[in-house]
Amino acid sequence: MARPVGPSDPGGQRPQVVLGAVTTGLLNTSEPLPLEAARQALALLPGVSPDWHRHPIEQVVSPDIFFGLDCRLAVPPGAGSQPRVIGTARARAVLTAGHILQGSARVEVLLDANRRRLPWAHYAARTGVVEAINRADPADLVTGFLQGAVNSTVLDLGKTGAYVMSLLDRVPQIDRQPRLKTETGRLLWAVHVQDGAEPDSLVELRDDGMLRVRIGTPAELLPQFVEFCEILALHHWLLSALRNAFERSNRRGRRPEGELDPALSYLGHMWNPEAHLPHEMRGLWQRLENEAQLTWEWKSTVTRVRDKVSLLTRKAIEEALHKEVV
Amino acid sequence: MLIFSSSDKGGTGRSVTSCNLAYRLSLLGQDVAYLDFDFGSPTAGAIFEIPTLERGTRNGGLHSYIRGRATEPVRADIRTTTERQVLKERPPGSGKLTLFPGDVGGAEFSLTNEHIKKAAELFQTVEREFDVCIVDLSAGRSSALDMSLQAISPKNRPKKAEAVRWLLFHRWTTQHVIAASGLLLEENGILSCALAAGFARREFLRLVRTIRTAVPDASAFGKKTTAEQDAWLSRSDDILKTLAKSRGLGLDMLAGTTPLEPMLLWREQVIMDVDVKRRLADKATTQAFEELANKLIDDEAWEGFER
Repeated sequence: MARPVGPSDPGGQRPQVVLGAVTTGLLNTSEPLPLEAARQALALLPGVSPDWHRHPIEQVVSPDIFFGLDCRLAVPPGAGSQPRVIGTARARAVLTAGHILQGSARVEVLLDANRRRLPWAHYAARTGVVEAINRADPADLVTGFLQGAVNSTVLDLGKTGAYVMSLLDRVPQIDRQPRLKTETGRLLWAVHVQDGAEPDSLVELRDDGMLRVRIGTPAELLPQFVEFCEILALHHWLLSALRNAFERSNRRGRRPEGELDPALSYLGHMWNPEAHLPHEMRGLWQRLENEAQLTWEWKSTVTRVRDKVSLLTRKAIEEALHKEVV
Repeated sequence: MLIFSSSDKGGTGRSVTSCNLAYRLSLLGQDVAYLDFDFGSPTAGAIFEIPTLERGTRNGGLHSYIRGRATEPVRADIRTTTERQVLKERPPGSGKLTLFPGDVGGAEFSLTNEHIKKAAELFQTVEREFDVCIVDLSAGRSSALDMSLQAISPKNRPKKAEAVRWLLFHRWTTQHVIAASGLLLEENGILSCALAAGFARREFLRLVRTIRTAVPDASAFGKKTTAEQDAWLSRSDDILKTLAKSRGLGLDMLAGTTPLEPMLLWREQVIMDVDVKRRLADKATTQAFEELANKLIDDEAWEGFER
């Protein structure tokens, strides 16, 4: 079941383009937050309690919060001027298994809106929507956004996601002592809204380590697609974090168990992409699995880590026995 | 771990030594972040030979981030952006090396609590990913220095957080020793700022070590030295040692010494082992950097004496 995502445009206009970003990282704490604490921590809006599931894997989703925007949208080089948009971005935090934190942000872009800036009350009534006051081609907006922000004047939702994550750093239960060094994962997605179309996505991973997802889908499936992107971002991050820990365990002058132990105890049990995957998105996920074999890669990496831990244990036992003999 | 690099005067080799330490630490298997807090004149981009960041970035560097004009600072993987071919190669077993550049045209600013909060958040974010974060401060007193002391003070940083080290760079001359000691210990100096930020005197001085840079030996006189020159040099060195000790910068505070490296007189750059192999750089230089790098990550070396 897709989670409710709040009202969209009350004027009834449909967005032609929806842009979003998901940032993923480890909660800044030594042990996972228990479900109760997580529900308190993710109550980012006073009076609104977060959504949560206990099974098959604990997950808490904060209420949506909004950020005012007046900025430009990136377009590919040669596609003319960057349209200016005004409105609000919608964002939420997702905490999985009490330990993996995501900031997810998005905007719905209305292209045939007013040609000049209206009073703020107009935009405040349309939460999560931005209106472009210049003309623009939807395809250009999708391509431009997925390039990633080249400078600070264009919309960069990845930073909004990172900001939402940083809100959790201020929670008192956070002891700021994670035992694992991890990099923040980034995913950008862009939807060209096409009514009646079968969802069709293109997932890309470039040199900068950022995942990019482009999709054409009808507006009704947007909430499910957002969840698909959050699940993809989570699992891509899991894989990167585990590989990073394995790589770090081979570094000069380092105790390998110092990396492998937290990696296994923090991440080892987390892989379950279909746990909260909306039914409508199963086809997309399956296709991704067929092409990229993410689950296979996860399994083989976990095996590699466990094998290394076994070998280290054997070595330690042998050394202890040797000492006794001596 | 957070390492701050400070110096009283410009031209002490603070930035170039810090960059070299960052590079050496990455060779030792550490994931290293280099934060350019020299807001007035960011130079790390030039030292790491990254053409697009020679004078900082225009897209939201650390200065913009601290001032609230960018939600996240720009970063650059040094090995993929550098122009220097040999620096691009990442040896097996080595760690990441990432630069957080300053801004083109950044400048001094008057410090507010908002800035301090931003700095504390920045350190927290960077420490989550990297083993070592080197923060290069500009010469002398600056808002960035004050801000850093506030951000790491016991008021703002939990006790159990990762270790902090404070490095004070100075050249091995009378004026530099006097100036460095002044910066650390005199009125309105680093120590008094630290006390104002909430540190206890002993607690802060335990974090501080000095690095004596570009220390010449007799060979600076030329290939052949006279007996008089040798005697003079030895006497001058002794005088300096006494001076340093009397000014509170004695051996108990010393993290290490870097020799005078002719290559660095022409160009501030990373000295690599291949430069020694090509007989451009002195082996003593790379050795000094490596020793220092090892010391920085050795907690025992930092326990030191009770003062």
